[in-house]
Amino acid sequence: MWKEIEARVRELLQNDDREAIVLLHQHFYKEMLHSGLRICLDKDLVKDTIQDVLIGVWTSRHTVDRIGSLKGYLLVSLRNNLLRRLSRETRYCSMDDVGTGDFLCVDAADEMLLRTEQDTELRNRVTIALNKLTPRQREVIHLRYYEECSILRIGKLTGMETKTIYNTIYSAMKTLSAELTVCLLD
Amino acid sequence: MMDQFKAFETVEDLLADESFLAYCSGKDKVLVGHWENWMRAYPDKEILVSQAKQLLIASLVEMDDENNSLEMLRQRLSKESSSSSTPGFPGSDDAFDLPDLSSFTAPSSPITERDGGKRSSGRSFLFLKIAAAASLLIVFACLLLLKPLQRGEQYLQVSTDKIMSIYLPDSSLMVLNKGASVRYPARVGAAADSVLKVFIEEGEVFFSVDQASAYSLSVRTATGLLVEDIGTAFSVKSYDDIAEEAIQVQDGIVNVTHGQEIPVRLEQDQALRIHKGSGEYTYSKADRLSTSGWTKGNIALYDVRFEEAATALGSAFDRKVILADPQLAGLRVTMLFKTSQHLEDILKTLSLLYNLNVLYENGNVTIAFNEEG
Repeated sequence: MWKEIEARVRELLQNDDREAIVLLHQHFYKEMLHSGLRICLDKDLVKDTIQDVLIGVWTSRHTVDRIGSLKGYLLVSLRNNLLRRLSRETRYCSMDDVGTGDFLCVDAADEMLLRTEQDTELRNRVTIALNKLTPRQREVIHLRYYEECSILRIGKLTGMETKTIYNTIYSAMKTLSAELTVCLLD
Repeated sequence: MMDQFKAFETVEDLLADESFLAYCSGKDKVLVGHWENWMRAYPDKEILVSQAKQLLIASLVEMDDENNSLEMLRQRLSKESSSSSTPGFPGSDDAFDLPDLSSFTAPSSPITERDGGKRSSGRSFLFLKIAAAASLLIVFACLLLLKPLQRGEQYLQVSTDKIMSIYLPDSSLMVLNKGASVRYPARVGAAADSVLKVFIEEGEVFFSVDQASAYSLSVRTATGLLVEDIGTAFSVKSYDDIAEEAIQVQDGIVNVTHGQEIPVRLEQDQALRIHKGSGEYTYSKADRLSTSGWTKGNIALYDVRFEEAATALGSAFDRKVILADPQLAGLRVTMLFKTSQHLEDILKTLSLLYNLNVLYENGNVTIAFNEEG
C-alpha cells in the first residue's frame, strides 16, 4: 500500500500539487511523530520539525525523483533536524537510542523503518487499551500526559481530589502497560 | 536521590512520578544526570524505564490531534506557494539542513554513493521558521513573561505554579523556583567583560555554573547583595516579604558581599543568611537537599525564620499562608517536606511542635500561636 501512496505522492509533486504533502502527512504523520518523540519528548518541538521536513519535501519537489525511499528520507531528515535543534538549545535527548550525538547516517534508514513497524504495532495496542479506559480515566490521562497539566491543575479542572487523580492515573497506566507487556512479549 | 528512586517497581510507578516525566522531557540537565546515575546504579531498572518511555510515547501519539497539525501544514504550504522561488534541494545550514535527497535509496538497496546535487538556499523558509518560533514563544509566554529590557537584557518571571530551568548564555544552568523573577544578559559580552551578571528581583534561584565556561557568574539581589561564584553550584533566595536573604553553597566556593562589607567566603555545605534591615549575618548548614532539593519537590529548611517556611509552604502547595501573629514571623524552624505530601499533614505536625493554631478559610491558611496552650 505504501508503494502506491509513494507513487501517487511523486506524481503529485511532479505536477506541483500541494496535495502530495497533505497525502504524506495523512499517511505518515503518526509514524514521524512516534519516531521524533523517541528522540525528544517535547511534542511541540517534534511537531514543528515534522512540518519543516514536509515543507522541505515541497521545496525540493522537482528533484524528488532522485529519492529512493521517501519514507526513509522523511525519518532521517526528521531525526537530523531534531538533533540539530536540540544541540542548538543545549537540550538533552531523553531517549536511549540517540547515541552520542552523531547524526544518523543514511545506512541506518533500514533500522528506522523496521522500528516504525514495531511502533505501529505498539500504538495499535495502545489505541485499543485507551478505548478500554473509562471516560474519566481518558480525560485525566490526556490532561496529565498530553496537556502536561500538574496534578493541582487537573484537580481544579475536574474537581477531583489529589489522591483520586493519582489512583485514576495509576489504574489507567496499569491497563495500558498490560498492553505494552503483551506487545513486547509477542 | 538514589534511595528515593528505589521504590519504582512498575511502569505505573514511573509514569505517576513527576520527576520521571521531567526527566523524559530532557530539559533539566540536573535531573537527567540524576536519573542516568540511578540507572547506572540499578541496571535492572533500565528495562522498566524503557517500557515506561515507550508507553508514554505511544500514548502521546494516540492522543495527538492529527487534524490540527494537518491544518497548520496546509496554511504553511499555502504561504510557501505564494512566496516560493525556484524549488530545489534543501540542505542549507542556516535553513533546514535536510540530508541530501539523492542519498536515499530503497531500504533494501545498499547505499554506495552520495551525490552532492544542487543546493537551494532554503532561505525563503526562514521567515516561516521565525513565524513558527514566534508562535512557540507565544505559547511559552503562557508560562513565562519574557520581555526584552535594556539592550541585550532579558526579563524572566516564572508563574506561581511552575519551576523553570534555563541555560544562561555561558551554558550555566539556572533553575527558578515558582514565582521567581530575574534579569540576565541575552548573550555573553566581549572578552573584556567576562562576568555574566544576573539580577534576582525576587524569589529563589539555583545556579549550576558550567565549569568549562570562560566567564564567571555574579548574582545581585534587589537589596544590593552580591554573590560571585568561583566555579560552583549554589542558590540565592531573596523575597520582598522575608526579612532575610539566603545563600547556600552545594559545590565549590562563592564570595558574598553586602554593602561596603568585606566579602564573605562561603564553601560547600555552608549557608549564609543576611538580615536585610540590620545587615547581620547568620551562618547555618546547607546541603544538596536544602540548596537544590526544591527543584525536585523536596524542601529542606534549616534554621530559617518562620515567614520563610510559610512562603515555602505556600509556594509548594499553591496556597496563601498568612501569619496572623507578627511574632511568629521571627520564630526559627527547621523542617523537611515533600510537595507530594499533604499540606494539612505538615501543618498538623508543625502545630504540635510549635503550639500553633491553623485555620483554613477561603483557600487561605492562617497560622497563629495557640493562645489556649
